Amino acid sequence: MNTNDDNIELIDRYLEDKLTEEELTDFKQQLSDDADFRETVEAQRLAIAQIQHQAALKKMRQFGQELKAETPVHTLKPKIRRLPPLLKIAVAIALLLVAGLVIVIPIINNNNEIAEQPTDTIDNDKYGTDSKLDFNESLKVKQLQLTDDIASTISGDRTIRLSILFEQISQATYDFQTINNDLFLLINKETLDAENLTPVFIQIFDKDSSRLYLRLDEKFYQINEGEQRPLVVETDETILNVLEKQ
Amino acid sequence: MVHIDELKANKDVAWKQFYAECYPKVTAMLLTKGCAADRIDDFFHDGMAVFYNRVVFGNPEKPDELIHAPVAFVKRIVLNLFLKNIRDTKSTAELSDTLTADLVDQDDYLLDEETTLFYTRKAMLDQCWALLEEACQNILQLYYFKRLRDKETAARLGYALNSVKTKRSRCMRLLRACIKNI
Repeated sequence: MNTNDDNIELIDRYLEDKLTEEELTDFKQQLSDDADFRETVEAQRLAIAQIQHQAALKKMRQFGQELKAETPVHTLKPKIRRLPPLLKIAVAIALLLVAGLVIVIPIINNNNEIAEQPTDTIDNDKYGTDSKLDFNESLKVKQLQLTDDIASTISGDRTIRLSILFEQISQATYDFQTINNDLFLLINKETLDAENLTPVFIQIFDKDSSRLYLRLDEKFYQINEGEQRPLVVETDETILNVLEKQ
Repeated sequence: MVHIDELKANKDVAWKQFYAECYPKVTAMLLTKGCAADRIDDFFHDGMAVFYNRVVFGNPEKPDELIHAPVAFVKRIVLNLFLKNIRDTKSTAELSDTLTADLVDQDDYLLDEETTLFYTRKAMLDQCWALLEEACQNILQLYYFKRLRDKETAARLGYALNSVKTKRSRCMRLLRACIKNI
């Protein structure tokens, strides 16, 4: 069928449901008889739907743009509250007081600690006349080298056995011995020689106690764990003498 | 709240108010369904366009269709368009069916046959529409959307009356020819 303008107008009126009964009857007859006409009617229907959709879409986008332009952009500004002048002064004084306390209290504490610290030389009455090490800090580390003469200098009447687990040289036993209230550590020098180890004793002092560590190679072993009484280590070039104050 | 009768009267003020009323609700719904934020406007405007034509030109499938809750109606259209988009963009039908089934109850999927068909062809229809020059688009929209007579269109666009008639006929023929080839 020739889809001239008259037919298109007829199709438009059909799609708008504006045909008379007689026109509608003829139109439906043509629809059932003519495949091309059916195709044209369907194409016209879709075309109109597309035109209307595109126009409505354009309208909605325009609404969106207008509304966005009309809507004021609210930027959040931080609320700044002005304090009353008297409150400002009160806050300033409070801050100064807090700052003063923070600065002054540690200074006072520090002075007290300094006052409580031992004097540069150990009190001989407390630690014995043979004590010769200097302690002028609250925490101190001393490293004491053992020498070949140690075995020959150790003797006595009482032995304290202390077992130390060595990771490197299996388990060895070390003897502590007191002689005239002096505590001596007995080292099996042959074992150390066999392992080519040089024992180093490290005593760490803090305010109320001390801890004695034995260092072999890069390992540390605490040998007086749990001791409450302070130990004093005295040495010269040839002997390690561990004193236990009664 | 805008009443449906105000929308049927096709006043721009009412539609703009309705747009402002719908937009945040539809946006919230789409976000909860997992829609990308930058696609929300596309789905919303498409849904609003469908709704607009339903209200202003009527639903050819249901001439006596009553719309009691316009906002809910728009939300359902937009949701259907969003779900249809998911189905169309997923390569595996089973996967997309499972996905959309999780997103919405089956009862909510109420896109009518005509609209479904229209949106199935939407991409190609859009291509056909894009083939038309701007003057063609304007003349066709004024005739079929604004319902202006050719004489009014000629006055508005500054064309001769015969030129408008000829252009409208030619542009419509081009559009139909393209659609027939879909």
